[in-house]
Amino acid sequence: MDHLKIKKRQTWQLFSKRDFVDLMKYKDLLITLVKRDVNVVYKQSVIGFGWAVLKPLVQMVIFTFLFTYIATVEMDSSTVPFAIFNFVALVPFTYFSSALTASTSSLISNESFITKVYFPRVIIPIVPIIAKLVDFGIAMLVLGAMLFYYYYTVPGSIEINYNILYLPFLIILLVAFSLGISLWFSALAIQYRDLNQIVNFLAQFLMYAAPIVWPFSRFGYIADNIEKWCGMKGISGTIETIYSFFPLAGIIEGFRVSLIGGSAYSKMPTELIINGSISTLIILIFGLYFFRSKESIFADVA
Amino acid sequence: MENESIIKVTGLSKRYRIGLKEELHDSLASSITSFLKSPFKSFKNLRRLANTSDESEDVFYALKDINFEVKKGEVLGIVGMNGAGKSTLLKVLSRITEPTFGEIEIKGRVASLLEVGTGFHPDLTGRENIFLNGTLLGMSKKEIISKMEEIIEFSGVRKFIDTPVKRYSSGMRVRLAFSVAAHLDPEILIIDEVLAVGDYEFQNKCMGKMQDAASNGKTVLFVSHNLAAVKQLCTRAILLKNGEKIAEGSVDDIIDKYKSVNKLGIETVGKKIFSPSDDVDFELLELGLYNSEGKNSYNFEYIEEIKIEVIFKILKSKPNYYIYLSVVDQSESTIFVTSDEDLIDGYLCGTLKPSNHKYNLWIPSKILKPGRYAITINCCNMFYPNVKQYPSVIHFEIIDSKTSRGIKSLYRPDQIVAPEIKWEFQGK
Ligand SMILES: Nc1ncnc2c1ncn2[C@@H]1O[C@H](COP(=O)(O)OP(=O)(O)OP(=O)(O)O)[C@@H](O)[C@H]1O
Ligand SMILES: [Mg+2]
Repeated sequence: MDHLKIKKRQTWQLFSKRDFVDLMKYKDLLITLVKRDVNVVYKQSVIGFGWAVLKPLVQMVIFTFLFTYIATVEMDSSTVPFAIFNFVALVPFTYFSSALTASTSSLISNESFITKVYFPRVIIPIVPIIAKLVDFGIAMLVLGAMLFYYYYTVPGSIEINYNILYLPFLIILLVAFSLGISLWFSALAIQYRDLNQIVNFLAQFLMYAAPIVWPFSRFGYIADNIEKWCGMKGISGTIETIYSFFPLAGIIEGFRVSLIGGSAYSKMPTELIINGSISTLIILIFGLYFFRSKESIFADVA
Repeated sequence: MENESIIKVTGLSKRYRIGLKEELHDSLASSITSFLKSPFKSFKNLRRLANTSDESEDVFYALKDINFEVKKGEVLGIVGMNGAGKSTLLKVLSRITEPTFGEIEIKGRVASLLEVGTGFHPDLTGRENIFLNGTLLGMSKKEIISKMEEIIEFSGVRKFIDTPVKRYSSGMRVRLAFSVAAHLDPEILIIDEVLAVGDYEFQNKCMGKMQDAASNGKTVLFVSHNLAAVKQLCTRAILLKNGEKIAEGSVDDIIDKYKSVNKLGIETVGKKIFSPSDDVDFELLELGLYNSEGKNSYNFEYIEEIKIEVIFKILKSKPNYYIYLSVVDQSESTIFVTSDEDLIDGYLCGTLKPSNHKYNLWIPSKILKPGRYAITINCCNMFYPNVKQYPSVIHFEIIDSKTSRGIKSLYRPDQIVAPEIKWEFQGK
């Protein structure tokens, strides 16, 4: 028979065996909530699953127009069209930004559950992280179709090789990073209600900070310019090192190498990916701790 | 084992921070600006939130050192006034919020029904919502599938089960939600005020289901202001006041204590004394409510007559003085109005000489339904209306622990008064 002891959790005792037992018991809740999220989105909208691709597709068209006809970006190779270069990056980024925004507001929009029913709270911010994978999957299918199209119409643009085997790991890294950041933001958002706006702004900022409209190979040049602009000598090397710990950089470059390939993207940026994994792990673990430590006041402040 | 305690609460306290909540910044921007303005104070606030010390004045104990045990198969009633901490106690017991001090030991699966209908999504169908609601309460998918038919049957909304819940009436939603919770099949059932919602049939069904649970050896914790329901269901009760457990024992004892505790409350003495001013010609001195035993009281049984004593002062005789009194309910709607014109035709007050005087009046029994009421008094002059107004000067409560009208759902939320009507049967 169930035997339960309820008392105030000590700060050092963030996880107990009971927590994992509970989490397992409520796994059906996680599944149901994910289904609900997916169902509700696609039941309501007329074009249904089309939404999933529309956003990155429109962005890609705009960027392609902007950066090929108005301002030109120096590309890694003349054979890779800007459209595919950009879309390969937009697909994972769109997942990240939509999962983050949905997850940040998740605790607030499920306030009525939190103040009325017990269940492991961590399920709530995890739900959008999983649910948005459906959108991501659909966008990946479109990306696949696009890759085929360019493979046949622009010879030499796409040369997929064994690097595609990295893809599953890159996706796991992407999900872990999204979850890590979301744990922080969702726990903060229940107290600070303007965080939703801040997250939108942050997503916008990260879109340009990540190598989405510019090739990563240009980063050295950018770092040099920052050095000049700040007027501090020898800082550009440090900037490059710090930037390498930005997980989206490794993920996006990794996506390009595994899906576009060819001479321009022949080498997996392993250092970027390793550094990105390290920071992801730190963000995720501390995010979990932060969430757990805030969890006990959710029902009181909500 | 029969006599084993299934719930054991020791030294339980729950602290909320109320003062801080206002200071606690709801926006990150304001929190950052305030941090920049006074970093020291902000830091202290942050620490206070995380800290457990309580030297600050804005801590508030919703529960203070509560101890009790519940044995297997018992139905424990928890009674107390608004804000006594009943819901907080149930929330801690069902792990929604964490205790500040103390410990609770629970042996068995808990199902708590703190608010019927939580966890419904309007765009999903009834069936999909059964899954959502069931898993939210901790059921597994397999369990829900195996009980699906029973749940739909009990809810009585089979016709609409594949319709989105947003097309349901609120009563239908409540039925579906209760049906899910009722089929959770827990060892311990925790229920807060569910009888307050739903129609006649639903309330009966709830009561029936709880009685079933109790007779099947389930343990039930039951919070309600419906004392008749408490009396009918519970085998034992505890009484909370301002977060403290002040009594424990048989249901009858506790209900009696509950009524007497109310009398001691500050706002609820059942008597109000006014300090007269010299520049008003006609005003109140004292207002008191008395029960059938002639004792000053704040709460009254449905079957009891309420005596009101109005002591007033006349400084200058004027021909057109009169007093009128209205009884208003919690939603501020007037239930009835009465005036001393009922006494004689014309204005009695106007003929009185300057002095202190007293009126006695009686609100008949079996009219007001259980609930809280306030009395508003106006001292008037025909030509200068409202010489003095006393809006909601005194509050009182009607309870019904003597009749079974509550269980028969004769006090519905949408009904205004509950007069006893004379019925006669003619036939064979
Ligand atoms: N999240 C919270 N933050 C601060 N104070 C709270 C919070 N929740 C409850 N309280 C306070 O705790 C006290 C007890 O509330 P509770 O809801 O337990 O009362 P109750 O006995 O259920 O009353 P009622 O009969 O009205 O349902 C109240 O004074 C309430 O204001
Ligand atoms: Mg309550």
